[in-house]
Amino acid sequence: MKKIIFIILFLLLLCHNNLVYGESTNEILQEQEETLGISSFIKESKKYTQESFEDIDLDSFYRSALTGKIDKNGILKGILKIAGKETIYIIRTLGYILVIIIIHSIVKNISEGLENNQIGQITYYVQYILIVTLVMGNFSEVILLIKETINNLVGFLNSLLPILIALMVSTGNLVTASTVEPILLIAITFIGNIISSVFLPLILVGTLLGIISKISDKIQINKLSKFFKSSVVWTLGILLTIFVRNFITRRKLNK
Amino acid sequence: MEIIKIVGIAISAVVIMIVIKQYKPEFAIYISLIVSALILLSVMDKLSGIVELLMNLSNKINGGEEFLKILMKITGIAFLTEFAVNICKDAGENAIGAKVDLGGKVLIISMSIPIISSMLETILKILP
Repeated sequence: MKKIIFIILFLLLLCHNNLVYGESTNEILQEQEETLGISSFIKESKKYTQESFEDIDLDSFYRSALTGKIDKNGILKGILKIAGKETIYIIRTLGYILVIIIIHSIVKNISEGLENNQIGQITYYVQYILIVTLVMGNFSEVILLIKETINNLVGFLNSLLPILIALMVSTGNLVTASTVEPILLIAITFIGNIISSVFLPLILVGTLLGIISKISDKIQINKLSKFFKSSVVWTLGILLTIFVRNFITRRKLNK
Repeated sequence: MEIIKIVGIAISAVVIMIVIKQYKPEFAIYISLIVSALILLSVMDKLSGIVELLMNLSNKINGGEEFLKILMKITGIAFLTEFAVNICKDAGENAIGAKVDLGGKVLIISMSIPIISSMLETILKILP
């Protein structure tokens, strides 16, 4: 009797197992996507990738990545496009500077023999202003890029963090999730803010002082601009060190 | 072969002047004036080639043309001033030469004001 009941139970168990296998991987993926909020993250991150990765649709990219197929060529092409754009711009600026220097050398050659040495000074001014204007155009572009990057970074992390936290919670790291979120958020927004509101103006003022000190040989404020620049570099380094150290100690403590 | 022309004009002028100075020294200054004008005019068309080249080069930079125009004008003023000052000095009128020099300098500074102001603008534009 016992044996029969055992066999029936065993068969029932087998049947039950078979029933469980009916759920497809797609459904599981869908379910996890909904619980972790990945689709909203992808929707959010689309606005950061649209500019440089035009031919990559994040949604389909994510779907193909789930099955193990990653479109490496598309990513490489996008990265090359970004790098190529900047390089071409810089090379064009260099060509402009070369032309300006050639013009300057010709004009200087003409006017050097004159008794009136003011001409040489004015020529120098003109050439200097042209070069400064060109380089400044490039420089302000870089500054704008930095500001945009910081804003994007903070926004992206803000949209990425909830998913990370949800992942942590779902894998059982409740304590880490509850402590890391505020620390990370505060650190990221703090560093982003301090770079865009303190360091960028400092760098601008330092560059300005460098430009001014080159106008005349007699007025030298080069050291001040160097001081600004090195102080920015040092404070950035210290801030990042503190950030990383905090992060690591928290992680160690939470383990 | 421009240089042979210039040298020929100059040497013949010097010979004429040495001869004339013994009889009518006041005419020597006219000869020197004419010779300097002749030499200047004979090299003028070469200068225009240089200016054309510079203008062509400056067309490659956006926003460089007006600066280069000012630069050319300043160089021209400097040339003419130098020319006039030298003639005045030859004639023994150093005082007038100094005045011409002063006038040229003032003109040069007044023409370079747009450049200086644009430099200031560039600097102020960078300021946050």
